[in-house]
Amino acid sequence: MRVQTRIPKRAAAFVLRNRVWIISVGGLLAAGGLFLGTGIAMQSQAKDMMPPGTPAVREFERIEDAFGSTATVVVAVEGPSDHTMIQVAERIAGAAAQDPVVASGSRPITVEIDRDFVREWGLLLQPAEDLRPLVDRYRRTDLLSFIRGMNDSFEGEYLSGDGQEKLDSDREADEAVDIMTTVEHFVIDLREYLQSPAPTTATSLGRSLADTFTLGESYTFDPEHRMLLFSVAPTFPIEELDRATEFVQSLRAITNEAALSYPGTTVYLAGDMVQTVDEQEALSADLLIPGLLAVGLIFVLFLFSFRQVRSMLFALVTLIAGICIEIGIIALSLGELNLLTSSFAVVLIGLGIDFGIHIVSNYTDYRSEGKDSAAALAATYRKAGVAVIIGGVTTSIAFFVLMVSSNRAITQFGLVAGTGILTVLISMLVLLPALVTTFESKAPTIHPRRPVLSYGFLPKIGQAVVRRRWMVLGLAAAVTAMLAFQVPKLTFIYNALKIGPQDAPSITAQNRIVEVFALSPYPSLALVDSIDQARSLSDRLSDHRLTAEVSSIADLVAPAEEQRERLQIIGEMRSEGRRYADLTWDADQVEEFAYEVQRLEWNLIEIADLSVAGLGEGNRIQKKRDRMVREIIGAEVGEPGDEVFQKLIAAVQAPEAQTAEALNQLDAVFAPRMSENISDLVAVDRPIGVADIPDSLRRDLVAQDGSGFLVTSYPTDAVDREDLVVRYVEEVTAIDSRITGTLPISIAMSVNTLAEAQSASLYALAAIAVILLLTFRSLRYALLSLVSLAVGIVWLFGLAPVLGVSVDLVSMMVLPLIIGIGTAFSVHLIERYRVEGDIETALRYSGKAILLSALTTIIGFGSLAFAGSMAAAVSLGMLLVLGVGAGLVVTVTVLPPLLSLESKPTAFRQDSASQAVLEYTTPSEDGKENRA
Amino acid sequence: MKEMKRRTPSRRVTIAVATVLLLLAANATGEEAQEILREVDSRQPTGASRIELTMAVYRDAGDEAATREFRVQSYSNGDASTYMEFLEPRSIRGMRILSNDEASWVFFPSTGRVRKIAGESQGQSVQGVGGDFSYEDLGGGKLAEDYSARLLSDDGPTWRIEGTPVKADSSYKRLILTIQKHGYRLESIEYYTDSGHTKTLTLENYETADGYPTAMQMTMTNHSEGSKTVVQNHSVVYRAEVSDQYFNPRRFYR
Repeated sequence: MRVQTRIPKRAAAFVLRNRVWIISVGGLLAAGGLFLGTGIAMQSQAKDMMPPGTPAVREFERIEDAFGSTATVVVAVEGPSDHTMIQVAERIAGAAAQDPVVASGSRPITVEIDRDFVREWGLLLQPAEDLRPLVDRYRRTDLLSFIRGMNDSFEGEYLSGDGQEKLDSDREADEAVDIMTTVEHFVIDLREYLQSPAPTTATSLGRSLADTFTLGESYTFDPEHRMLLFSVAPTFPIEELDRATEFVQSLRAITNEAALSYPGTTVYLAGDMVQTVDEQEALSADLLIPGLLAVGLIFVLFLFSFRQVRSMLFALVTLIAGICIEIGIIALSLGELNLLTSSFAVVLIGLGIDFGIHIVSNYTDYRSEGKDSAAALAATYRKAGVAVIIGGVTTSIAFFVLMVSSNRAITQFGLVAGTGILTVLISMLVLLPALVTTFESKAPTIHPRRPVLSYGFLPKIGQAVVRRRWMVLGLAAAVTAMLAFQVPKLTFIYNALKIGPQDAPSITAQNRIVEVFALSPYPSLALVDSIDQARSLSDRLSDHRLTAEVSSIADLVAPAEEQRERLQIIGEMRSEGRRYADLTWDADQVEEFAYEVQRLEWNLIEIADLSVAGLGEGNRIQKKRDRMVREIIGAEVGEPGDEVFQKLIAAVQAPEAQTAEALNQLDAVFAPRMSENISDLVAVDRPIGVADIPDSLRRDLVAQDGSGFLVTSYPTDAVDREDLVVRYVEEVTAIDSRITGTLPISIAMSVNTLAEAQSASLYALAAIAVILLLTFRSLRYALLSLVSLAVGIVWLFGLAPVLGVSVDLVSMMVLPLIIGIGTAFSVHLIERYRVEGDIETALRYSGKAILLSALTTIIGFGSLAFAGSMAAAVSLGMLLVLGVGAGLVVTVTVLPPLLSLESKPTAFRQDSASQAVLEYTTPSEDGKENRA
Repeated sequence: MKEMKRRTPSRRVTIAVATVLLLLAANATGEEAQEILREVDSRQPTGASRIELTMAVYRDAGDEAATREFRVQSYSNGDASTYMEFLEPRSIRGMRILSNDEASWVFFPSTGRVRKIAGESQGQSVQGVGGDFSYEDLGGGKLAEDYSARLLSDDGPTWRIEGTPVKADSSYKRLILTIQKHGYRLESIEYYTDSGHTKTLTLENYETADGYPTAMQMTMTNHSEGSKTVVQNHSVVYRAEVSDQYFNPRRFYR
């Protein structure tokens, strides 16, 4: 007996003899795989997928070592007023302190800024040039002197000298809007007080105004006070995922309860820990929902394509069992999934079902011929088994080649996908026949009630394209050339943060914070050795046009010489005696006060006008002015605004108002409180050192052992744009190679993955070329297969930009897969052509298999495109749909005319293995076998 | 020592002669360069002018989206006084700026007030609306008077001339001017400071206005800031009739 007959026969006998064992062991392995799968860790952080020696990763790990956990949860509160937002924030902090999960997992939450520190050291933190004007301004603390001084200050700072130069960056715009908001609150509060003056209001307002103008805000608001921010610092690393999930869930429950208690408020949770938890949920959802959708759709496809649906159901069961076994293999080998490997289930569904189609189709056909189970299974192994094995092994090699990469994520993806395909392949060859032969119906269904598609249009297409081959080839060349010009427009998403779940709560929160604060939530970080280094780096980063905010120890500890100069100026302030007289307001002073309010309005209008020079039309300062006052179009007035100044002037000048008396009451509290605060502020008489900084501030700036200092630089929201984020990272890392953070790591990973994926694809292509040569033993056919593959890839990457599909570090990984699938399509058709001698017949027998394989793959990956929650999964799905679709169209329309260019196909070798490759049978309409 | 001993008297004479020749050659190229600058100056318009222009300031030269644009009617009296009135953007339509050697005055139509701005240093942007053009860049002086020139090359259709500022208060260390031989038109100016090549001005789309070749588009690329400013001239009138009122700090806003 010949080998090619003996082995399939023995294999069939083995399966039939042990089918109960096979099913039992298969079931146990699948159940065990699922059980082991519960222990698989999800690594969604970019740094966990990078080569360990990568500078950005190395520096990040240094920071983690020096500062402990770098995880942060940002809490953002939006509400109708400052007061409400503060109440919500305090409520959250109070509830968190009582919650066992949150309290035990984080440092004590501080919502309010440490005002004692500001009172003690606040003036010493101001640059000398900002302190000098205060010598005069702090000389008199009564309300009239104060507002006059404020006007002098605006005119000196913004409206004379080189003032305009101060309003040409986002940071300076924020500072100006912040001042305008403070003025707005001052003017509104004052008006409300004057409209109904009461001694108690005078006391509270006088104090709060004096505190705000001397000590600053107590809470972290955005410049327009739309949002209040505070942070929660977990004491454990993000890698403890179960704990992180429980922590975030507890915090979410607290914040939801607080928001519900105060109508009109919204509380957001953002930050790396919340995002990681959300990504876990999205990864799990992308494993389940699109997978189920794909299985359902593939079942519907089979229902209308095969008479024996029961057997196809077994193919689906086998596929699921194979995936479960692979989950166990992943648990035992890697123990983790990452952004790339998490999509393995869908990859296996798309590819694995093809193996089942071949096995089931052949087996049911042979059974319908009247062969018994053993003979039918042996024939199936002989005619289709080898083809399936070659197809599976070819694709798995394409994936295993990825393991040569130095990128950990790609290596893991190669291992998971490669072993996964082999696992599903073995399942389809062993478990599926065991299931089919055990549970098959006694009489095959010849004429089912439902309509069954014959796919007879495929040979007609073949006939048509061959008849008009030159026209078709010309058209294909034109389309290929046209799409080739589109390929350079393909965009690669370097920012790995953009490929996560885009509708997750943490992303919504992050987007809202970015919108309100106009800065990116992903800071660049650098650990430096000294305060001088921190200062130097802070200065250089501050100068970068895409930097919104920089913080470091240098903000608090100035150089000794600078501190001496500041202390000298502060000393001048200290020598002043009493800062206020017992002022009695009269009509003249009220009139002067009204004039100063008018002057305040003029100054803010002109500051906003000048801001257009440096910040352009419609900048934040201008918008704030238009809301506070009115829209201004040159000398004309546009949309009405709040007219806060004119309303105050009206209240001051109202004939029935007792303005002088009310201002007397207010000033009796305001002036002494200002004086008292100033006295506290000017009491500082020695330089500040690291030891003077409270722990709440120091823990974010100084390493736990005091050996290093952290420089934190927040980029502007402009880096949200893909074209700017790469340049930003390149430029800041050029400033200092120690700079790391989420963005630098993310970009480094994308750059690395892109390079690795390109070289891995070339390796896969080379491996496949060798396999093609070995399989065909013909350079011509190997080249034809590669040409049709190349055309398909050009179509894919040309269509992608036209349809708005971009590539990212995850979806780039589909290239080896598309190469594998595209090659399999052409191999099936070429081999069948060599047997049949004409395209029409070849397509009649192989067309349905190719089409169904393509459709199942498109459904498998299309489910990701339409139901995936991760942006990367959606992109991956779209690319595969396009890639496999392009491969199918090229195989059916372009390859036949190319094959028909030779008069007769090269004589088919009577090689059993290659014969098996091309044998694919499909029953004719009358249920009889259609086979060459 | 060995090196010195090997130098024979005749060799020393050769070196001395060569040095003198080189110096003479350098002087010759300096004279030629200075003459070229004089020729360029002679082709520049004098007297009052009226120009309507658009200035587009790109904070990031590589980011065409991040721009701010101004349309300005500008008058010059041929001396150091310049008057600008903003036509666009609409929010500052009618804002006027008068600048002379001493100071600048800004008229705000929104409040009706005039504010005097202190004198600017040479290196600063023109009232913030100049983008990457500083007062010195827009200064109306003569090239041949303000810079001592040295010819760097005269290959092809252009000359490359190095200009070293004569005035001590210049913010630049040197300039490299590229001048078209045909018509003595300025093609570009590279600006160098102590920190290197900081800016490049490119002059394009030459048209003849009142008999003077005029670059209708000027692009100043700021290499140190990564920004650029593009000035597009829409209408240029030289030897224009311009009222003195525009250059009077007490009347320019009326």
